[in-house]
Amino acid sequence: MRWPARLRHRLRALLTARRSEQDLSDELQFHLEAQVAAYVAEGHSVEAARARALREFGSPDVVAEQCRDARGVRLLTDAWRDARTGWRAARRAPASAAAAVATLALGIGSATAMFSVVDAVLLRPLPFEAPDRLVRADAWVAAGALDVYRLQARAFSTVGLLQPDREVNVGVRTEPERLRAAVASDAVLPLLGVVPRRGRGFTADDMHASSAPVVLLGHDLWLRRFDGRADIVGHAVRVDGVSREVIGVLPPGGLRPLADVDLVLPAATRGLPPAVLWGSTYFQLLGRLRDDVSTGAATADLRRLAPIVRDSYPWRMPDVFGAEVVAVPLLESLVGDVRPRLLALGLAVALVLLSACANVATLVLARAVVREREFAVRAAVGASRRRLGQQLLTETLALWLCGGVLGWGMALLTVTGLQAWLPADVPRLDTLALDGRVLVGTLLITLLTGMAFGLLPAWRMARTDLVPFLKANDGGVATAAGRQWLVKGLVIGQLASAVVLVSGSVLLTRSLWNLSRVAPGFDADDVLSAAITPDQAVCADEIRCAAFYAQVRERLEVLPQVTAVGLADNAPIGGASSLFAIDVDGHPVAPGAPAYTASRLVVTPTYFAAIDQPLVHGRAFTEADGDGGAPVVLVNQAFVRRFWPGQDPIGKRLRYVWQPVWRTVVGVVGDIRQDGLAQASPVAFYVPYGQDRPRDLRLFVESGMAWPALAREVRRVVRGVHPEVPVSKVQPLRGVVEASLAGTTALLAILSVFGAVVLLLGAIGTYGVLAANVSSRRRELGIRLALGASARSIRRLVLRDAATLCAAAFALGVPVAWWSARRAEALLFGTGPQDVTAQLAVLVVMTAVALAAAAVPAMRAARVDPLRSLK
Amino acid sequence: MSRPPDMLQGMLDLLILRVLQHEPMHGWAIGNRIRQLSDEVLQVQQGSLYPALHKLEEQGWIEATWGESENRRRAKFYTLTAAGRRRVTEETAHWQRLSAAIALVVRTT
Repeated sequence: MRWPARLRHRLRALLTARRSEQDLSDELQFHLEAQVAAYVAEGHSVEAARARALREFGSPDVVAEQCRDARGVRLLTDAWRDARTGWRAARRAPASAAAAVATLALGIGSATAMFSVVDAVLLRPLPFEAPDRLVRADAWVAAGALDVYRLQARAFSTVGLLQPDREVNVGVRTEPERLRAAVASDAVLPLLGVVPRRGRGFTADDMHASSAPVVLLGHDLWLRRFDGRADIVGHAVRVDGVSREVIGVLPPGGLRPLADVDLVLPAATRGLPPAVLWGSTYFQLLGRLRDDVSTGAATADLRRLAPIVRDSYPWRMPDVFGAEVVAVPLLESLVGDVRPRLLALGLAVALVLLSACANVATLVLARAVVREREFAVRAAVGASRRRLGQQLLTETLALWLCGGVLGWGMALLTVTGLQAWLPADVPRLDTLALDGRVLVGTLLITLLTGMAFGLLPAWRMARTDLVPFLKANDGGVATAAGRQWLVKGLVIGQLASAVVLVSGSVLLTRSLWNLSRVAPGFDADDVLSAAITPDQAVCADEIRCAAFYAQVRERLEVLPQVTAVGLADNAPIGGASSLFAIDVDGHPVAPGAPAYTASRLVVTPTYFAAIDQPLVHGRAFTEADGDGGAPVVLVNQAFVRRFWPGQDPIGKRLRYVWQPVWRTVVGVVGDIRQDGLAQASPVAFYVPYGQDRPRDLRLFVESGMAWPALAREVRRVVRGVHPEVPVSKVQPLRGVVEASLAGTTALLAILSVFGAVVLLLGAIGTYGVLAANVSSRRRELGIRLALGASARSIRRLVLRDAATLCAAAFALGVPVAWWSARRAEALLFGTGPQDVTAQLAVLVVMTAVALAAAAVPAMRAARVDPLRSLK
Repeated sequence: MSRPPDMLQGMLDLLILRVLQHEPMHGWAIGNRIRQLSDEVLQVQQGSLYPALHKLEEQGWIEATWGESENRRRAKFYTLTAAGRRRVTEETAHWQRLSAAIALVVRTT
């Protein structure tokens, strides 16, 4: 209860310092006068009274000091005074101070930037209502399963279905746009707590396939395409050839980060034939937990319902269907994948920060050495060693705070660059901002490192006996050696951090090198890829769709410089591979057991020629296959290895599990790394276009033309065949391949920059230590030279010191590097901590740097003039 | 002029608070009154008095105002706060118990 009053009192004392001082002096003066008056009243003379009173009073300064102590503000006034002393000292050595502040800014700035990323992606709660009660099942569910979950789930108060990344054509009259859409059931918006800014959300009626088509617009789309008009509700928008009525507009955040989309369509969960309801559209299952239910209980509930869902399917599903489903908290399911990468980056940044702090601590120690005289004089006048240590700590903290402020400014400047630099698959990056939370984090980082590293010089100062410094010109050898120990320790720490970062960079470089040498299975050179997405208007039935694509192919093939044109329903790499359940000849599946799956690609005959995927055996597709010929397929080598090893696959058969038609294998093609260069090729089969007719296809044009010109031609041709068909994702196929390496490349770039910075700091630190060593051993070196040592042996002495530092750094750094490489194995490819070449490379780099840093001190040592040093 | 040890400091605090129970006083008058009331036994030096006064003020038991002294000079007067009044009653009771206990020990050993 008294604390607020006490705090007020202290604050007031602090703020009105000068007047308080005056008051105190007045009060003591009054006391003196009163005492004199009392003595005079007793009968002494005025002079005698005054003399006696003064003698009894003692030193007013000491009394005043004790009063100030009692007032409880001495800590702060002392700190302020120390900071000003530090500022004066810094002005005497501006280069050193500037270097220290700049180094700290670098360390704290990168730590701030990294912390803001970690905060935005991993720490900040989702922007939905009560986000910690939201979970997502880790398996896809069919549209028909919604009713089962909705009616029978005990752990959830609400469940909804969401497909967050569909693509649709949105067209009015002119060129249609290809936009991202989400498909959601009616409960999703209330479940998340997202309230439409205008209009309404979906109702249960909208879920019926035959009810009037509706759509929810995203906020940005409403502003951009419809000028934010107030009468938007009731307006008609053409989506995928169907005219839909706008029933509402989402608020500005929309469904982010769950789905970054331009509009939301209702999920059709009723009124469709069972084959469609259970077979063709799959959704994520979202749920809001009841108040007293844990995630584990939700998982148990989902598994309990799995057999019920399984039996609701119109065909037989495997007995173990859904037995391993897990309910994952929503935030975790969004960012769980990227956490290892962010933590690796976090470790790297922590090393940069520590390295920068160690560097500055070394600088402070070096400056303290120079100022020893000043401290010795202060000690002689009565300052306690603790007080001097306190002064040094305050000065160092002030330095750290300057570095922190500058670092914050640096982070402000770089945060926009950071968003562009980090790979695009890191979720929630759009919420990256330097806000209050990050500021608090930065303050904590600054103060903690400042205290930790500032205590080192302060502690040394408090423990050193300063009297020798008043006498000798340079410090006694013993104290110099003791200080050297601390500085050497700091430098070794920096070099060890450099070892870890350089080691990480080397391993990542090797991973990238290995990855780039992986044959993707096709030739991406000179191939342009584009996505063509006609909707119902163009592809009202299959015949018209086939005719559309046939025309596009014909017109493109006659273009000059075009060597081959192929179409497929997916990209050879990087696209989400769709798995199909198949029956395979000679591999019967017991009823109730899970079926075999393979990825499927529907292709035109010229597809393989366009991307140069080799035909290994048998024959390729012809035009006849697409036009009502016998059902045929091609398989890849992985398929043959998996199902018919050592046998001739020509003539064997496979089929979709839901169709009775068996398809015959007529040829074998080469493997393609469809899931990414780092993954093995999946088992795949190819169906000729015509025997299956997906609506959206990808175009591959092999041509010597420059790709911008080719892109223009492609758009022109497609527009010429039908003006309402959007062409999107136009890029050279090589770009698609490289995009799959983007994550590793970005990580390597950042790590290399950090590694270089820390290496530089370590080199500077090493140079500093060795140079100081040489200069303090002048006499010893002079003696050696006078006694006949060769210049080379003197240089070897210095180099040996450098080698010792390096060896210690290795001893410290290699285990840490090994441990972090083990933890980050998922990020590496074809290499690991046991990679000897990588370790050798690190050794070579570090040794080279250490030798370079030692070169100048070594030469100076050899050039010491023995006569001058012995004087 | 070293600081008095804590027990003496505690006693000094109590003495000051007791003296101020009756009327507000400035620093010199407090020291004088203590000397008078204790028959010249307790002579408080200003090196102990003023730090004690400032500490009591910081702790909130007394508060200070500037006023006019007997001979029309500007002086800092201290008065008890409400909390201070409660404190002095508690501390007096505590001191009486303590001194009785000490007297018991001294008498019997």
